[in-house]
Amino acid sequence: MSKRKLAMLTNILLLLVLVLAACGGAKPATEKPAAEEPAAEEPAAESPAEKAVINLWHTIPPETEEFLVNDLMPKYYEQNPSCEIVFNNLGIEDPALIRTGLALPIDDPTRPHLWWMASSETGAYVEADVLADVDGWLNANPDIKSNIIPALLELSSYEGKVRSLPWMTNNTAMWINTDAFDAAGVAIPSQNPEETWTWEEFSDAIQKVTDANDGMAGFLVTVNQAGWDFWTFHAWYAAAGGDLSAGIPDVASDAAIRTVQLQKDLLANGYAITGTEGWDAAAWYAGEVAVVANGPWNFPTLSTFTDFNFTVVPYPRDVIPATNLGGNQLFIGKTPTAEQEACAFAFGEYMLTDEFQIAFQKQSGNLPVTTSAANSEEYQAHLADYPFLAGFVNQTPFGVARYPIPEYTDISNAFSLAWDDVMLNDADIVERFNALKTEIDGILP
Amino acid sequence: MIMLRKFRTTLVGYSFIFPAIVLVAIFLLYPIGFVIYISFHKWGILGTPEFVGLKNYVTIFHDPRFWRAVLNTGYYMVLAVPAQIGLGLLLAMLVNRKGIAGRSLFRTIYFIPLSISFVAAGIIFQWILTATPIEGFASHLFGQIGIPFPKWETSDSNWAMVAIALMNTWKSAGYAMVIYLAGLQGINRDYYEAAAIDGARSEWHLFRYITWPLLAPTTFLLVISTVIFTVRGFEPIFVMTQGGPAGATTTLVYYLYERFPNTMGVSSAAATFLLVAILLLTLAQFLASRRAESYY
Repeated sequence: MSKRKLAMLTNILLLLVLVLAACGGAKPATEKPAAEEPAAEEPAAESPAEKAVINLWHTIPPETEEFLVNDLMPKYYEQNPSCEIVFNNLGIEDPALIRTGLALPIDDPTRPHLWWMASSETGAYVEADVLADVDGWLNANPDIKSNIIPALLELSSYEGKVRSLPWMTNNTAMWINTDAFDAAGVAIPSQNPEETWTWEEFSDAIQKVTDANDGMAGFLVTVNQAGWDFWTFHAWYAAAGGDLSAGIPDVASDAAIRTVQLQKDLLANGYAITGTEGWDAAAWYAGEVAVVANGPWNFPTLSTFTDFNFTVVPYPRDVIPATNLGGNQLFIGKTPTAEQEACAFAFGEYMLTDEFQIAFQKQSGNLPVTTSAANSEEYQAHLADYPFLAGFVNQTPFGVARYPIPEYTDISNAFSLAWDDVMLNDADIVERFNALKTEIDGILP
Repeated sequence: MIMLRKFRTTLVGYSFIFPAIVLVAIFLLYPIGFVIYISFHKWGILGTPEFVGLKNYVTIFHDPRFWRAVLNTGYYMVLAVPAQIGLGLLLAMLVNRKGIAGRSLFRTIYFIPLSISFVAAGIIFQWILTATPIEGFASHLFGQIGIPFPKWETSDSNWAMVAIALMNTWKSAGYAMVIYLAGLQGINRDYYEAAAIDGARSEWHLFRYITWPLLAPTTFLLVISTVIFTVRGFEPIFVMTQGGPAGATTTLVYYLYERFPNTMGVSSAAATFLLVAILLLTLAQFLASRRAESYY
């Protein structure tokens, strides 16, 4: 064989290998953490091949995932020996990753059957018809349904049906440097959302605290974070009596304008400072600001923080008490076999048990999604150990959720520009938010 | 017989480039074609794309945020490209001088930022430059000497792009330096001797009439590559400003990212616009360089 022919043959072979490697033998992208040893405790007679394999795609923080796999899953496997959950940590909560997985054929072994995602994606999943009948399952299990906190059931719903199961919830509340409040002679507000401070008391407190504490601003107004800014706006807007019956806040309404005006006034008068990345409480920890809106997911840091005294209280109430509900849902997708569907719903059922909810939320710092878990002796003891947590927990029933439509992100981005224009560029509030309303109307279907 | 031999020779040649063509087709041509295809559809990854004609293009052309992103992209390019190339040239001239002790060390030091990821560099620069709510090193230092540091992350939005360009320049100047070094070392020393005989005495004259014209092809290469790298830059903006404040750093790439994955059609229309804009920009640079060639 001549050298030329040999070279040509080699090239063709290389190409064939490349094509074959690309087309066939794609191994599941799922990874089973080494810690997932419980499978070894299962009856030896059952090989993995006989089990119904369920892929669970998530972005649970690694420490919590380890706890879930090592401490909580053995019970599930004990109750469901014919099921195997394969955890696949995506690392970053990117809706596109989940959607790409769901675009695979239904019998593709790598397709997600369960996934952990914010409820804001619900509309897209419903439009694509990729979800299992969670509403029917809940109606067939009224005890489970009635145990879910009503506000979270609403958050899980889209077009009149429950589409996913709440896995964990959270909200933002006011973190207060109580030393700064004491220095200003301002009373610490109640942790009861219906008796806590009003907007007037909030403004007054922020002013007094700023005046009494050198180098410390009263409040942190967050900017330049579309998702965060619009989410926290929901809490203020709802408290101002804003209408959410259409799903998206009416940004040109009186409630919306008053919400923006409240924070703009604090900023313009020097009682507040601006910061980006609202979820980052560094400025509060550093004593640069006395009050910030932040969430319970910081529990590991907060529970050991001793630089100054603090507590957490609800959002100031205006017309009503309110907060912004967040958290992640368990979405159950359509599965190719009935066995897989049974395993998927069995996981959903287990996830909503008190045992799971209490342990998972205590570990992760988030809040239980069921009434029985929240009221349980064990969780109440946890609250007694960490009294600041009551500021978050007590608000949950008054929470409002983000509207789970596909256009939400675009609306959120448009809101952010208007918010920043007012807070940073001194745009006229009414004019700018009326323009925003027009823009949002154009985005909505 | 001759025809057959020629055919075989051609076949062997094509067999060599075929794997590369396949890879280019899979990883470059197909994605570009798919983006253009999706730009005429309504799609959110799930389900079947729905043909909507030119609607996505009409949407972006009527969107003030899109045009602002175009302007921001131009602004970023104007700030970042000359800075990178200028600093790269300066560094290359310095480390190319003979008799400087530790020349290799300096070359390595200047090149190191290029090996650092944009994400890491962005985070570090943000820590250094942040002015609110906590002061970073630079803002604290300026404050200590009585110079107010701009709050580029919030109220001084005009400075946000400057901060990004600063990081980008620090990060990328090493690349320009290496390319310019190669260009400098390719210049025949005879030209300098001839220029000296003709009366060019100062360093500036040598640079102005010998070095700079002979570096024109290198500069052309750098302008094209840095324009493309800069215009498509995403990480510096994502890490440092997320397109803000108030949209001041939302470039075209960030604009299309914000519309992904819910409105992939709009996102793809913006991506196609960007692709065409870069092609036109490159073409214009080619034409300009042809004219410049007659210069020397």
